[in-house]
Amino acid sequence: MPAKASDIQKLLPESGKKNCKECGLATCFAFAMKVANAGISLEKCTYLSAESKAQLEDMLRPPISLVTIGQGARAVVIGDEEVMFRHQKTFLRPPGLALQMADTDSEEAVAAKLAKLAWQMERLEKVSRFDLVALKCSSGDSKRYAALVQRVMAETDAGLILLADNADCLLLAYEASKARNPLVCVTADNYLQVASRLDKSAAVCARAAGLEAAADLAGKLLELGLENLVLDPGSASLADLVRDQTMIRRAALQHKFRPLGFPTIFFAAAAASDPDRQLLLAVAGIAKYAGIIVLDDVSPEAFQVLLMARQDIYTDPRVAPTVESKVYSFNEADQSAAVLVTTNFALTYYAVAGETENSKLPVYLLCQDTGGLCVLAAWSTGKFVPETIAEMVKKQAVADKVTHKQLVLPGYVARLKGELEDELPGWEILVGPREAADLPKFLQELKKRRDSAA
Amino acid sequence: MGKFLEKYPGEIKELRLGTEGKQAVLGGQNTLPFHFFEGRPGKLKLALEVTDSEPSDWTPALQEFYADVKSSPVEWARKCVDVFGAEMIFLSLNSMEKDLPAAEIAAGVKRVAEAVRVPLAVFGLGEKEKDAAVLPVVASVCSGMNLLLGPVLKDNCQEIAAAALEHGHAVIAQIPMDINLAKDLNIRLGKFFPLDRVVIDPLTCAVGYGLEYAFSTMERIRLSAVVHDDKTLQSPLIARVGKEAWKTKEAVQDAGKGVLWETATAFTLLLAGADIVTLRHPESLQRVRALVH
Ligand code: SF4
Repeated sequence: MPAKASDIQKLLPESGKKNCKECGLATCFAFAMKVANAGISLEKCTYLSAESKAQLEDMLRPPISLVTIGQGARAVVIGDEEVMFRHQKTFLRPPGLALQMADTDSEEAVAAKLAKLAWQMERLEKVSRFDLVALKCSSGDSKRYAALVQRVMAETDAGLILLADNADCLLLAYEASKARNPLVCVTADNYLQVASRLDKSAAVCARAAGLEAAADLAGKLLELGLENLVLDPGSASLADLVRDQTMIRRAALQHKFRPLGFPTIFFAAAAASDPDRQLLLAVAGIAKYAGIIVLDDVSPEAFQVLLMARQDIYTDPRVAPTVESKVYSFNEADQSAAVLVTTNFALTYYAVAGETENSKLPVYLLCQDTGGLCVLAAWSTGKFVPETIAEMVKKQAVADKVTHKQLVLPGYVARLKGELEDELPGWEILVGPREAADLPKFLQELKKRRDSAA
Repeated sequence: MGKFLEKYPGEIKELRLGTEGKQAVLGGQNTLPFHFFEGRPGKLKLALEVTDSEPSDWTPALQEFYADVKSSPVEWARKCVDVFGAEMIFLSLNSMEKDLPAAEIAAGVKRVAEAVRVPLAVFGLGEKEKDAAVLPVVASVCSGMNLLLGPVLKDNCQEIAAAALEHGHAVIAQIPMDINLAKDLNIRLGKFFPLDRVVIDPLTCAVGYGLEYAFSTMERIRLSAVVHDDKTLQSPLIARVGKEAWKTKEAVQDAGKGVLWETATAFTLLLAGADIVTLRHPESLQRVRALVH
């Protein structure tokens, strides 16, 4: 819920009726409108009392603070979420995924995990990867820990999460990595020694056993002037995770409870040692509000499924996902490749592309721009009709790519066959299956028919 | 933290399936999924899928995995229960594709239902005429066995649900991923069929293939039922995960990925509100069960 301009106006000088124009706006109300949309700083009104200003700042602060960890292209920005359930608007900021390593790990283990931080997945025209590395001090030796921090900084631009019980270890590592804006994890036992030595802008994680303790520690950190907080209530099971994450988000959004008004971190690595369990808990963390998820390790398969699940849940339900409108080729498409046409709705594309790959037969797939509508919806709104399909076939010079002149339509729009033949003289229009699952069989049969004709 | 807890007005009644001695109960929640901290979450059932004739469209890896039993639905179902610990069997009637006589198909279903000590869900092809011809025969041949029969669609709900009601079965009402369609079909069914004997199948998508649609559809249906006390949506939910997960490119390439896709999809949908999840690989069942029970 963004603050309302009328509520802001009431706190402006003379109840917002001074209208002196010194802020550059015609009225106090105009200023209030701009403030509500974060378009102007409160500083521009020089008549604001300190008390009103504090009240306004409080009103304007999002219920869940926005926190940045790391810097540059790989910075992780979390928090400032607005809803409990994604259909109510959208989840805004995908959780940062972190790999954990310790200063007692073997050289090979560290090298292997650093290599994994460079893994990437490209999908839906976005590149994604693991964002962070959690560095654990298991040795209790501050020099050894700092050496790991130095090495990791030299070899990856991933953001850092610093985990050490001993305050000296933590502070030495913080000093070494400060420029990289790390997330410094503190507990009730060490925060007093650590907090005063951190910059006020530092990102700090309040680690505690349970919600009450986490809220308590966050409250103390706030009093010390640290505001970029992340909460770790120490969830140790699926039930804990659902409870803690739900309660934190609810307390922040529905009750404006300041000590829990922060993004969260979930140590899947601490909740389960078995990698399969860790992975599933991480998947649960994605569905249930975690801001950062820390794993011990990740296999190539687990990497892929986690990143895809994250992208799924953080897809904006208000926008249809699309792929680029162009000709995609599969299984070494050559002049004999079958030519299929469909829409650029991403899910249609992935279903068709997956089954096409399964068929192992060469195929060109034309994805016509329908603004992300599926075949039936696009047809019924005039965005996937003979004229638009013919235009795509001509524009992409499909006739030059293949030696035959057969075009396969999705089964759902079989009725377009006749008109499309009129639009594309010389082409034979075939009707494909309705469901992508039936494509491999259809393509096999098409090939057989072609082979026997030849 | 007590002041942040919530009580909800809506409730899903318990659904009992199966007969004396092999009954199972699912649903029964008065809160949201896994909200043990503020209410009574529902009872979940993890089902393994079996087909009533050899599953030609399953991936080679799965075919090989079930090579010793896949030609006998009875043996297959028994193994799923006795060896793999399935809490329910989800029997797909793929023999309907070969247009076998309905009585023969129904006799096969009865043999499977008698052979296992867990409840049985029986699923047709999703083609309205064929299902309307076969499922009522299954209902009558298996009279009194308290099966879960489906899918019941908008256009054949009369025929199938009436037969299910007459012979004491519950039904699966299927709609394409839309809360309003789910409501419409339940209202239609509710005129003559008890809604606490209906399980909603809003269709499922695997990770990377539209999971978010399945997730939000299920979540919305469950929120309406529990938080907004919408009586027309107070039915358990089924997520048919196995089929969707194992047709992904990833699963076809590599059985290990198949298990990952299956578990990750199942797990996400359980968090959205699924009460029954169907799976194809017992390894997936073990992994999901280890965390949810
Ligand atoms: S400077 Fe302040 S008092 Fe003057 S018009 Fe702007 S908001 Fe109102």
